[in-house]
Amino acid sequence: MDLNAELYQTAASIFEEVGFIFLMPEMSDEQRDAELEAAVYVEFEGHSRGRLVLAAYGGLLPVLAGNMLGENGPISEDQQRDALGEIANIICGNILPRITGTTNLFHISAPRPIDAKELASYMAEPNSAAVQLPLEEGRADLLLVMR
Amino acid sequence: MSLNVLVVDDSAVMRAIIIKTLHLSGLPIGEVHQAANGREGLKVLDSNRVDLALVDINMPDMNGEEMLEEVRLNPKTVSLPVVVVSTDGSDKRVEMLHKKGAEFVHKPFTPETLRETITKMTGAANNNGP
Repeated sequence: MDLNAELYQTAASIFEEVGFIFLMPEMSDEQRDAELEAAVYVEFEGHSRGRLVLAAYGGLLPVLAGNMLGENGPISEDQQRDALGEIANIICGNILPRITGTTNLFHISAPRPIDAKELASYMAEPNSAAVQLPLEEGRADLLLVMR
Repeated sequence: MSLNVLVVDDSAVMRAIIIKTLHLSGLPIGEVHQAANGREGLKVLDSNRVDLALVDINMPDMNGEEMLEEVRLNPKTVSLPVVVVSTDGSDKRVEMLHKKGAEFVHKPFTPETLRETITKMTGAANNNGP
């Protein structure tokens, strides 16, 4: 099984269904160089243990939260982080059964925000899958670690 | 008759999505109460008439499964329709929830999925239908 492909497809589908943000056919230079806005991780345990890290870049965060809430007005930073955490939680809950089957029980932790330094250290660790999604607005980086 | 609903989720954004989806489902929705964890949810149930609870699993303080157990132990809420809305939807978990008299809706979900599950549990008629 190609875990990168599974993670990419699952994340793209969740961004589309929950965040109403669609995948772009290729990554632009602007997206590649975009600045980090926020990052979160969720941990899971059960059939296997690990974590999923999700980072938002280049304007993704406010658009995502606005779409999820169905609001055009200003969205608070708390709501933006909350929205990103929910997306991470849903991606995690959907990728695990795709990889391990639907019979295995998992417990997924509440999403936790991480800063740029923590994100860099997680990104440097060995992983099971790592993908970058070029989205209509900005970019999302995902990292999956399974032990 | 409209349904008074309790939505229990630690994410305010997810509560907003669930409430928006409920209104899009075509079901007759009355008062909507919110709680950020199971303990808060039990307090709402204690002081309001609620016809249906939509509950997340993973929450701080008291999770959805613990709340469901308390709901089933209380004579006032023993037969309250409860729908667990979560990403944690393994076959084992869904089976355990069914044994406790709850239905399960996997995130992400559509208004149609929510409507079918709620109609099955409550017999509520659509707003648009006869």
